[in-house]
Amino acid sequence: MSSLISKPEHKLQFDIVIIGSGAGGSTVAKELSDLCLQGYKIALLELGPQHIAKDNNREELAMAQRYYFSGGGFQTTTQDMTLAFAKGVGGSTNVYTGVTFKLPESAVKKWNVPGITLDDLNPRMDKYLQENGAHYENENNINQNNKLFKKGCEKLGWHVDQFAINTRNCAGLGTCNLGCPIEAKQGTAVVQIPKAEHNGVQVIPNCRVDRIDGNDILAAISTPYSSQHSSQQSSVQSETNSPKDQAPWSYRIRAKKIILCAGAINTPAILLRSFGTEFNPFIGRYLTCHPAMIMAAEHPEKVDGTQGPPKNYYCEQFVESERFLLESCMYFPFSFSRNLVGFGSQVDEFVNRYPYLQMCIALVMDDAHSENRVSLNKHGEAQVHYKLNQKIQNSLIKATRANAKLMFAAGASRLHAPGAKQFFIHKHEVDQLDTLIHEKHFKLGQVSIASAHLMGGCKMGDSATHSVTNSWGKVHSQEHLYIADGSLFPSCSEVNPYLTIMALADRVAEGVKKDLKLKGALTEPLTGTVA
Amino acid sequence: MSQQAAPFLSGKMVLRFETIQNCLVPRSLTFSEQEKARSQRLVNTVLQDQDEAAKKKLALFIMLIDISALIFHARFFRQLNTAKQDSLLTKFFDSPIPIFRKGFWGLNTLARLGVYGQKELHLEIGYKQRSLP
Repeated sequence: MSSLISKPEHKLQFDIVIIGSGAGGSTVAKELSDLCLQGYKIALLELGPQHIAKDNNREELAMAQRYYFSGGGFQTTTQDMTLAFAKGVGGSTNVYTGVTFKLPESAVKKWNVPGITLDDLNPRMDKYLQENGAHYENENNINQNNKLFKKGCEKLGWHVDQFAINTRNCAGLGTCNLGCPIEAKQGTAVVQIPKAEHNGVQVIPNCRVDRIDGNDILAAISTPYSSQHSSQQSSVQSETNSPKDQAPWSYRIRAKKIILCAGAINTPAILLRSFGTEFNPFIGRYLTCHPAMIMAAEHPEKVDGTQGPPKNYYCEQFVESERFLLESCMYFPFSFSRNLVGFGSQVDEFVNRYPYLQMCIALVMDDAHSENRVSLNKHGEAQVHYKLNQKIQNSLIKATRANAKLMFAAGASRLHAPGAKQFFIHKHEVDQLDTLIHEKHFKLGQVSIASAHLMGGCKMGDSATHSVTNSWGKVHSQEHLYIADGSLFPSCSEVNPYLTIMALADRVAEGVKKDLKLKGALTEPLTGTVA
Repeated sequence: MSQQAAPFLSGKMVLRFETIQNCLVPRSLTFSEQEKARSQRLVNTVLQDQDEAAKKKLALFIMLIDISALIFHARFFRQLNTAKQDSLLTKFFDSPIPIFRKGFWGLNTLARLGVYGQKELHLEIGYKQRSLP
């Protein structure tokens, strides 16, 4: 088995250790944090740093490097899809747009996991809707880019809905995907983690977990990304109290209960480094990700999509029939330009029209397949194998046509569609969309396909012959090990997944408490933290 | 003491990359020396985090463009006129062989990064952020 760190030199001990501080890990930390009041020691480990809101300068590349794995450019092994997932305290909830969806019944039915029902999940989702301040934005704050999306749908007679978004005192800065410099977005770094810390959970940033060895976690704590932030780093009780001093050290962290919440890529990777591939054949497999493509259209009047909340509307018209969801969206200059298929002066010409551009995104509801998986490369790091099969490609093509129709209906004069015969499609060509946007023009590796909804890889179920965990997130045959993140999804959620992840994490936390009570451990907290 | 590796864009690679970048993103043709330096810095910064194998593949792909220019036109890529450069790059962009399309996509993305990644150019294209409250 691969190892990323040297022999551990230092020891720590907690009752409960949570690995990963995104939607799942932070929820578990908050829900279990009342145990700290009874003397329990709980740690929340995070691979990335503690982000400081006031240091967020909203620059596209600098913030992408700061918040995202591989600067937002993590590619699948076949190099035809880019995956966006974040690091740092708060995980990907730092960089989502706050779009809040409840898990639909159709997805729950497909999951078919005993115990996972809407009756169970709805109260949990409602709790976090309220806790995160999810609400419908006042129409006065909705920008023209979003209004055009709604207008296009309505003109075509397509059902259009407004997203709930989880912000408080939002100033409409429009840079949600680069982190929020005023903490208006109610991600876990703003809502759940402070509550957990208040109750006594120790947050340990810059902590890279290599593997789990029984009740021990082998990890390394690296140098904080900037020394000026060292005062913001949570201290770790150890032989020394200075995180800077601990920088090059590796740790053996012992815990009664370990809860893996490192996300759909890194949770399977940690399990594979810990147990190898023989332990459970489902680890890493059945990854889904809502493959997505963006497109843009030029309007005669200014659109100014950068002002105000970036995303407000979606259209479910084709979810059942064609398996894709349409959403309004806004991309920053470089991210936008890299989605344009082609090269030369036409690209420059289109980018120069940036303030006049309407942008939309189409997300495909991909099926879960065993071959879509996380494995380890020769360095022991996660790599993602994902096949964009013909069904997905067909959905993407149909979604592109649908977005084109929508944008022309909204008044666009011309648009750029990935997988089209030509760089620009003009308004007078609207009747030819079926031939201009066609599978014969759609070539993988030529079109930009991206994903920010990573799900599956440690699917839950009723037995080890079908799944990695039970419906309470407990890893089969491992009494002390749980999972509470998007990797639990047996198939895609069909909607933006963070609220579902929080609901499942809430359930896992409940299960952990029940297990502790059953074993009488709730009356026996550890004394002291240093082994 | 270990020697720090040279940035990807250094020496002859700078000229090779910039020639291709000028064709992919013609806006770069009008770049000042300062803008060129910024472009190089952005590309090098992103590539410094990539593993050596990825950088070797990229270097190989850039070399392949030159070799193709020699095969098809008996000239280096930089010696071709714009029409021929476009035509040659289209062969990779639209290749029936996926690996060539992916190589092109990667190079094209880096070329755009060097241009549209420059925050100093964002105002020029009309990208405006709302001010902090």
